[in-house]
Amino acid sequence: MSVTHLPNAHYTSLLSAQENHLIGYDVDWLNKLRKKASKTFSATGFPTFREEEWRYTNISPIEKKQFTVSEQAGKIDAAFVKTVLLEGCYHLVFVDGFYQAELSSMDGLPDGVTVSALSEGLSEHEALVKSLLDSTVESTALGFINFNTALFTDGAVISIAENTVLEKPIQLAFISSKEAALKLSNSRNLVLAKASSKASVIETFHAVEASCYHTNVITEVVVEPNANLTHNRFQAESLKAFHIGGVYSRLEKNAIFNQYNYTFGASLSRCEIHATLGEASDCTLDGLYVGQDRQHMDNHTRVNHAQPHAVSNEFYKGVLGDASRGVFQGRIIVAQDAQKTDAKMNNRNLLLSDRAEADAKPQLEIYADDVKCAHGVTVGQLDDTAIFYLRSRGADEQTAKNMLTFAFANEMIEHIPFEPLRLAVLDELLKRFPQAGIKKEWL
Amino acid sequence: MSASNENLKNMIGQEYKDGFVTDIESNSFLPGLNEGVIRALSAIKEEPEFLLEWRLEAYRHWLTMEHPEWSFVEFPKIDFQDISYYSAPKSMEDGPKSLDEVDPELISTYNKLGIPLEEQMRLAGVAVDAVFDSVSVATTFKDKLAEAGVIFCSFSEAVKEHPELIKQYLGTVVSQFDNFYAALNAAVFSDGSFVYIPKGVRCPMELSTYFRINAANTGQFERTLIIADEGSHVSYLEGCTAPMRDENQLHAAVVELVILKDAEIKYSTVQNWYPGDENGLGGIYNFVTKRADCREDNAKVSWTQVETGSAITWKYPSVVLKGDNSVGEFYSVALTNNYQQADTGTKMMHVGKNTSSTIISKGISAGHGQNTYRGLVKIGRNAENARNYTQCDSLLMGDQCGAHTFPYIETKHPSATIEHEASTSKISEDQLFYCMQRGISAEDAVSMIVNGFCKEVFKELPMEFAVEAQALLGISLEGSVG
Repeated sequence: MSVTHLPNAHYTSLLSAQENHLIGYDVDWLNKLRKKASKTFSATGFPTFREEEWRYTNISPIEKKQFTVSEQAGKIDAAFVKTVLLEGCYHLVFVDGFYQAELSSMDGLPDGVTVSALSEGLSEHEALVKSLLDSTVESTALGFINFNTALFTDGAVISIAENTVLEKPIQLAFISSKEAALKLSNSRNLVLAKASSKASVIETFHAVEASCYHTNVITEVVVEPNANLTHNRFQAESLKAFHIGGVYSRLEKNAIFNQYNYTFGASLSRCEIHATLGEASDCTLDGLYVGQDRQHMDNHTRVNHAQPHAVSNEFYKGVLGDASRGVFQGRIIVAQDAQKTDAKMNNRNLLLSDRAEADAKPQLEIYADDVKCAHGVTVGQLDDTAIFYLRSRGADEQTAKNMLTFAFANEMIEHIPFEPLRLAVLDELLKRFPQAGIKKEWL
Repeated sequence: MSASNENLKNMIGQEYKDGFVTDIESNSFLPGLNEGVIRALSAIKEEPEFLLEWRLEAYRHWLTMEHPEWSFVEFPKIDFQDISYYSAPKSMEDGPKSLDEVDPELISTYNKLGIPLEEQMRLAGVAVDAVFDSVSVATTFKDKLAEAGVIFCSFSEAVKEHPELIKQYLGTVVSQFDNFYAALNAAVFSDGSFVYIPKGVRCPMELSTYFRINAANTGQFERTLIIADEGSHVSYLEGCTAPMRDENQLHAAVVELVILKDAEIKYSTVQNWYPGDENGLGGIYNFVTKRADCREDNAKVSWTQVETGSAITWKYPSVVLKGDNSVGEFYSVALTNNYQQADTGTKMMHVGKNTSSTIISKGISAGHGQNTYRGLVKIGRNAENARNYTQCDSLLMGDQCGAHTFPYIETKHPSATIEHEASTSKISEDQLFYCMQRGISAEDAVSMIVNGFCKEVFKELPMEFAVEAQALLGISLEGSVG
């Protein structure tokens, strides 16, 4: 499937320049891993839209911009940080890809729970990091993973002990400062939920100002038997930014994994959510993407039913206004042994303008015969009769449309159980529809 | 149902029944491809200069192209220098003036296939253009069609008799640079069918082409061009078979349909190329480009295909819905058994206003078969009020096979209404048990259920074809029951 493509000389040169500055360059195995990734990247480069998996997303602007590496965190106003931190969470704050201890707080972590930045905890948690890093990604095919492995500057390492329920979610806040303009940052997060534990992780992405920068954040997740992990991704980058993200997870027997993915920001974003399901595990992947202007939003999911009796549910909704473009590609793979699989995938798109575009590629790849698999896609506009109803109640046409659009999107938000996050996502959505005249207090 | 069950019963237990080799002398080129081969081919066909140029342009472009790798099928690299690009039954050289002069051996081949070329044909009321290896053998019912003004002849004949039509329409739907195999076909196509339905004519009978690959080591590259002028209507059938051979043979055809204002074409295919043996040895590679162009308003086209043969089927009958209010339909049954692979589906490109398309695809996988539906629905920037409904169902028989669904949906207009549904199922124990407790054998029960699964597609086929298609399904599924 690979298409020969000349790797970008600028980015290849970054790799060798950074080699001896990154965390863990003195750790032998990590250094080797980075070298290997760097070598693969130098040979293949970033993917091109000629590759089947990338046919709707052209990342050549990233190549052309020639971002340079952020070498340190820019200055940041503590007041701004406050606005993005969610109440009732443990916080890890990263600025331009570097951990900021003074902005973070992890008071009251129960015993047996590890939450640490890679830059601080690498030596202490080396065995844990080694067991998780590069363990869930399929790094052979995807240029951005290799790029991330070779260059990540920091990230979080999280481990929840057996039989432990973590009441408060862990928020990983990634903030791009003013100095981030024309820079790129790579972060890598590692999450392990040990047997019968329960936890929730929230990744949020913000920018101080509307500058052009590039973030590449990959999270690797392992959910052990009977554990229950919820992972949220709330992406509110600057509208000029380039965001590449990935969540690669492995679920073991009877594990539960819920992933909620909210995409609002970035001029070009691409997010890969992959899950490999163990026996009788349960996986939910939900998402909402709201595009404006000329934003390009690409969400890819891949659910790999490797073992029997697993259940997966996917539901992605897109609201696309102006000249924005939304892409959804989901793939469900059911292996030969994965009998009694129950997999569902749904994608619904609302086009608000005749310049907007929605592309969907919901795929089923099935090798077992006793399975239930279904997928559905709809693309359309608002229901005329619903608009008419609202107008008959005195709402003007624009308000009626805004209300209905808001309601369409809100369906993906209203069930977020953790209230501070729900309100934050809701705020972001309301920001996009100020004309709708909907007040947060009403909801 | 009981009558056809009786038929099925007789047929189950048969092997590939069309796998005989006809022993006639044929005149073939040595394997190999270069400009000389194309010139020679064109010379044999006594083609006008423009066509030769057209072929050479295609060939030169083909040389610059890379083999496409995106499909979900696997096969060893094809050596294009190892294929003979022309094979004609020798007795054609003298040119049969009428049916009576056609080599009786050939006629009996068609009779063996159950293709009634003569009397039977007249009874059935179907006009046939039969393509044997690379050349067209006989076209029946020419006079009767001529009365209505319909031109139905082999492609080479059309080149000689109606060069203006060929010049006007050839390559306007599938250009000679369209894709790897279409370019190859444009360079080396040897024959095919040509149909022209004049303004306002409803073709008085169904037209049919029968393709057969006989000679070993040859590729078959035929090209079909059908033009439905304003307000006309035609129903066209296509059937294919090939002898059993150990090596794989390539079949890379191009079909172009041009539909003008208010016209309608219904194109049905029953494809039963040799699928290879139960170990996946041999069989035809069926890599075909089929496209219809609804060029003007209110045009309508309907593709119906039953794909039971071929080691590999790789084709997407497509519709470009350019005219306002034009309609595209695609009905497909694709069956893969043993080691067969199919990557098939359709493309519906909505360009005009108020265009609509329907896609019904039924995939059946048995044995080690891999069956992929791949379909594109594209709503263009100006395609106001476009509608699409897609339904792809897969039926899995056994746990060694695969069923895959890869739809592509691209929408650039907010008024579009697109619905896509897909499901995967197997023949449930309950259904089988119910049939069996009523005294129906397991095999009959399975064919009943499979035929029921495909009913929506079969009902689109002309009657004779529907019967044949049901029988073919029965044969192809043999050995995968229980």
